[in-house]
Amino acid sequence: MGLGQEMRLNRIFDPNDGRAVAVAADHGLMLGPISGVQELGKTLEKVIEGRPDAILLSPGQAEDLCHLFMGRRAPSLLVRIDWTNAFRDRTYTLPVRETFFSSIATPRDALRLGAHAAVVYLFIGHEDERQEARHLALVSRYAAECEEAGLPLIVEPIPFGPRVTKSNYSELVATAVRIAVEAGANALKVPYTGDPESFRDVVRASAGTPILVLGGYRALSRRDLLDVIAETLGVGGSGVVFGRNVVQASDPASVLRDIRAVVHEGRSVREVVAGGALSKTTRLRVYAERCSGCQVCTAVCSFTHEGVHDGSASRLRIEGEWPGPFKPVTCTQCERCVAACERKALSRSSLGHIDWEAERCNLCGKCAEACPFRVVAIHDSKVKICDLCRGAPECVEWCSKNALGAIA
Amino acid sequence: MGTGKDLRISEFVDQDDKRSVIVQASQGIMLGPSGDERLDEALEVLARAGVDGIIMSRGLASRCSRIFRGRDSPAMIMSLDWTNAFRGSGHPLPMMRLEHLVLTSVSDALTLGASGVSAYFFVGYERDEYEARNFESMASICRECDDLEVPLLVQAIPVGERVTKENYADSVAMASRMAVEAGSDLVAVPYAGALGEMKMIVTAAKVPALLLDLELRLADGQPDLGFAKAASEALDAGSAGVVLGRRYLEVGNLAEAERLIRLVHGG
Repeated sequence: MGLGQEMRLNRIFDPNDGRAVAVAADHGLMLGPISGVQELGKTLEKVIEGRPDAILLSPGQAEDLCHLFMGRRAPSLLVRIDWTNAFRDRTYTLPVRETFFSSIATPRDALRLGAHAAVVYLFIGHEDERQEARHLALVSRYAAECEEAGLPLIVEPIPFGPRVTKSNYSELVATAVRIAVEAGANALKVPYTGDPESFRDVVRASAGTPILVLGGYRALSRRDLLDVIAETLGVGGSGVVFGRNVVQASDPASVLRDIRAVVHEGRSVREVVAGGALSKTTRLRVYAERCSGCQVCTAVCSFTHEGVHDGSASRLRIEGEWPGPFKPVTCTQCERCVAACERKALSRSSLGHIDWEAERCNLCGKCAEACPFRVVAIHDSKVKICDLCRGAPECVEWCSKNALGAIA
Repeated sequence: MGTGKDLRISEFVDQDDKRSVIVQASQGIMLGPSGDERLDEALEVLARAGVDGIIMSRGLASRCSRIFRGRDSPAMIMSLDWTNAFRGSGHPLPMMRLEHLVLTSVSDALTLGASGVSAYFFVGYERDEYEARNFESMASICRECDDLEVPLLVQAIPVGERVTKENYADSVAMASRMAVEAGSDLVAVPYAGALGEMKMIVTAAKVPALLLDLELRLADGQPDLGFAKAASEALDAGSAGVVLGRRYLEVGNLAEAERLIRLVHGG
């Protein structure tokens, strides 16, 4: 990679974590004025409030909306320099009969517009293999021109066409990624394969080239969207390029703030969801008569906090013998443990849960002795105490009988 | 002005106050190394302090690319040319005859990741032919900058025996206005002696005019005034900021450089 490519890429990916949150807003080029991009300037003003690292536009919109990218606090500009009709399925005007892709600008044109990178597609899975060959030739030419111009090339490798099936999809994503990398991509915009294991293979195929996961057209719930991001980051992804899930949202800035929290601030999805739209949980409520004694709550609690399925590491327990009755016993935030701690290692947080500070604690065990419900304990040199999962308790979410509830 | 130029200028001219502090770190190609210079370290301190742009020669740019990582870091401005004009009496090879030469194309600068380019334009050459050649090379850089949408900063400097105390301010005004009419997007000019004269020069420039920190007295007429005082006067006269010279890259002067950044941008 040349110096100019490296310098420009470093203005898209945050140098502190090597990650990026980008927004795709080039839909009009392929699909016409779909919702969210009709008045693109107005939408992007809201998007920019959420501080994305970069925004992807068509060359025409890039020229028109140049003012939104001015200044060092503004996002970097990504420009799409190719076009395809492939996405005009039956839900759009003039559904496609034959797939085409074309070059609509050169890397030099993108650079003149002030772009920090050019973005192009690479499809594999065509029925007619000459199409794939043609597309690869185009991408290779872009790669050479981009290198010469000092502009990074972001390739979007997508399995597309009748030879793509559910069972070969992940493998084809990995294959397309590797082809794009070897053709000269400096970064990738990649569809999610559906699970972290197969995405790990995709990351491996990229041989160190940064991968941004794309959202696709499916409108994901806020939690699903953040889960996808967290899963890809967990196996080596470098961030996101989300389009419709951002530009069609009622509040794009808030979606982006949540995405940034997961990508750049290292916060868990649980934390983000709890701090965002959901109300803050301050206490657990037990409906003992509904409890079936299945122990899913204790399993998920130990797994969430300790990464193991071990009931003894759980912050709650189920009392009672088969066939019942059962009674979940949970922390009530009575604060007796807080009062018992001489070193002030325990305190009540603003979210309502009890916080434990390891640095102050000498593991004396007075907190465990003080707990009337015996749900506080010393375990593995840690004080195990319910933290309400920092606002979104997993036990409540996983209990199929609704025997556990959260009181805001 | 086209969009690419606007975007790139906004990478080194603050969008809130429309001002800029640029550091010149390309003197090595003209003067050789300086004694007390730890360039990487100094540039990092200045980048953190909020310098907007750093002028680099092409050879150093790749060695210092770390400084330019991230959108809030300074922009790289590539110096395109070379001159012996700054080799004063303390230099082992003091200038005998002013020479000026273009070394790097705008296209190369863009390929290497520059957000802008910088070039010299001197007036006061002993022979008018040299001024004409310098103007010609600068004008051709202007055209390439227009084609490629790269902003150009011209450092317009009167130099030589024909420049006197009496004609210094007018020479600065003429040189910078000529640069602007040829197509320069920003100019950098030396201090010309008084508030009224700086006002005249800044008004005549029509584009953002930065005060150039010239350490050498290039003409007998040039007053020797502390740069901070000159900078503050130039800002009052409507100047858009400063171009800091090599002395501000010395470890002992970094604090003063930070003060100048605050002077330009406030806070």
